[in-house]
Amino acid sequence: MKAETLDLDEQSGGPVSVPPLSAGADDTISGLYAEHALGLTRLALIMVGDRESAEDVVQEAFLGLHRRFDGLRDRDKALVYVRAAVLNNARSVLRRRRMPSWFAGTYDPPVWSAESAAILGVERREVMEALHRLPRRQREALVLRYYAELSEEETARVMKISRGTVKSTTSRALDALGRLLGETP
Amino acid sequence: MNDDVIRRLQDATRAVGDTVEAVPPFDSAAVPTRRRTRVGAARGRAWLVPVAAAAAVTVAVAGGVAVARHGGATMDTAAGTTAGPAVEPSFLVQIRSGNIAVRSVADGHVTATVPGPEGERFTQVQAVRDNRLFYAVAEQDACRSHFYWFSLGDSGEVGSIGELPFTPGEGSVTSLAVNGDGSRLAYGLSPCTPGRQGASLIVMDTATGDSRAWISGRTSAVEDVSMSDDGRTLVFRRAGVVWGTSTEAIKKPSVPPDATPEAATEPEATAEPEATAEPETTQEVPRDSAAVESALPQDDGGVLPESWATPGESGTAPSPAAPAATDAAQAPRERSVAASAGPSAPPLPKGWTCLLPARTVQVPTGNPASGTTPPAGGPARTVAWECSMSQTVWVLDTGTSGGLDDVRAIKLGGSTVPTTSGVYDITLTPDGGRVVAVVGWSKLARVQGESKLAGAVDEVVAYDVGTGRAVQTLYRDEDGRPPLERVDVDGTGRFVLVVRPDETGQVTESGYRTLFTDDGGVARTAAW
Repeated sequence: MKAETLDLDEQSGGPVSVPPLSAGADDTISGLYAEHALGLTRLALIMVGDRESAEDVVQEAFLGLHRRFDGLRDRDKALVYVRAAVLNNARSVLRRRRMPSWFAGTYDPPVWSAESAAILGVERREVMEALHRLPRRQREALVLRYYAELSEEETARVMKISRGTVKSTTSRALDALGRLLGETP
Repeated sequence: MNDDVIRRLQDATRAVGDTVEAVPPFDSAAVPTRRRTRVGAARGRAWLVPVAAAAAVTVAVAGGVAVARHGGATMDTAAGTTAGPAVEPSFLVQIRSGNIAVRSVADGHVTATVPGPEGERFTQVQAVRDNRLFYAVAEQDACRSHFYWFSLGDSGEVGSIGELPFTPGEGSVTSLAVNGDGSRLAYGLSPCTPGRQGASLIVMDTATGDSRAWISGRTSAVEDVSMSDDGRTLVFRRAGVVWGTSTEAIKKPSVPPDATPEAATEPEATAEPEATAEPETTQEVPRDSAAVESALPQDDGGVLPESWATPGESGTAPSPAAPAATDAAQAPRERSVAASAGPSAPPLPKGWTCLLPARTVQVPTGNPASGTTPPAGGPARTVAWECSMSQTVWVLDTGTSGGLDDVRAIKLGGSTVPTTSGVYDITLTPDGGRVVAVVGWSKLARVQGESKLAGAVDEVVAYDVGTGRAVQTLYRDEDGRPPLERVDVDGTGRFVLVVRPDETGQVTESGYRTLFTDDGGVARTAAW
């Protein structure tokens, strides 16, 4: 139920010695994938709505990691990179959907929509639709903080913003979400 | 009250997340072993022509790449500039962990280390054309930096060092350039204070501190700034690192070829030229937080790369002396969209650009892999290219007026490979005539339903600063090694410094030469 695969390892706080990129790199990336791909795919799904796009978003993030692994030997950095890449790729998916149709292509309706086969119920649908009416950064902050349960510091690293901005963005996002859901006057 | 919102949010998002119970495997075993051989380097020499020759040869670029022939062209570089005391570099400088290391070009040994001044970390360093005087920026905190200079003796030892009596304004120095004689610095400056917008480019006289600033209304940082020998021409890029991959290969056989996978990877191309922007679709950033997006790629530059507006462009690029490789046979679909692809097709499919993956989506095939025939009779595959950073380069003539957002932009293109895509770093030749860039692609393949990295290509390419068209491929590596991430050209214009995460090398008319392999972590910057 919980997004346990997104749990962040505590930052080591110092340089990590890693073997040269070779078999070890594949092992590390495979390990990261095994540990985090499911959680990241779920995160991406929440962002983009359809599973196929979500899977692609994650695959690409890991391919990107593979490409740049030499610069990201530190496992924590690699994880931050993949998370940031997932967010960025998801953003691109959403952005492209606003473009002319031949570019954007077709895609399944969000899993939380009434048309979707995944039955989530009216209340959850309302929440998801409200979440997607929020500005992008507010949405990302909320999902990272309360779905992925990243700390403010971890969220800041992934979103590449300051911790204070995470705090203020999250606060505003909660207010906005509450208003959209009719929870506040 | 908020607790209830949080509870509902968590309940809904978890319910959505839980609809995914498993993910497809990621098969990194398909990634080719990184070889240490020099196969690519040897092959690269065949069409390697020095930057200086490229600059000296008049080439017609209207139709795409013109290959500057080596022969007759002398190595007398710096056409049109006053000949100064530029010398072949004996030393190079790199920043690692906030310190500057001076290394011998001859054997790579560290001749001197300049530690960050007390409490500060070096973030930028650049060389003057004599290869003895260097300027650097050290960061005290996120908002304050200082300029330093140091000079080297004949053995690479630091002869003298000092701090300039002028400092950058408050903000973060995002890049640094120096002209040939060290009389001018150019640097990018981004606000460090949340709530303040406006990146700027500043040119400063190092003797007087007199500065002129070009201010932007946007937040995209000025990066990779480089200056001609005379200090008149500047090139730079805007905005941050672009994370993204092309997704041609990520198609599901069960969906039409124009379905979503392409959508997944548009790189965060930022700050493209105004003309290419379609701002209406990028207004997701809330007004109250846009100002602090200094690190993330910005939305304010638009997301449609220029190549979208000219889809035929890359297909018109004739192939230079690139050998026809098997890749061409692996992407026959490209032939239907690259109308001008001649018999001498380049080794990589024409018409493919990392920013333009959808070019092929209109090919009416239900199975993207069905039209391909791998050379060895192996599994069917499709091929795509990873892209990373923007190919838009801004060219500033310091003699003109206007704001930073009015600066002329060029789009690097017309390379031997798909419209240049993954541009890692750029620099300007001393004569101001060529932009030299390190570019890279990854080849993705979808084999039996799984996406795999099937190879990588890295190039050092010289582009015409007036048109952005490629005029010369200086070096090409297909070994799938870590990408070339940094590039610098020396004061003579004849020696190109390239940095990989694991290796530093030079490209000259003689080809590629490894200077030293990395033993100290990734270099943030390198110069000579």
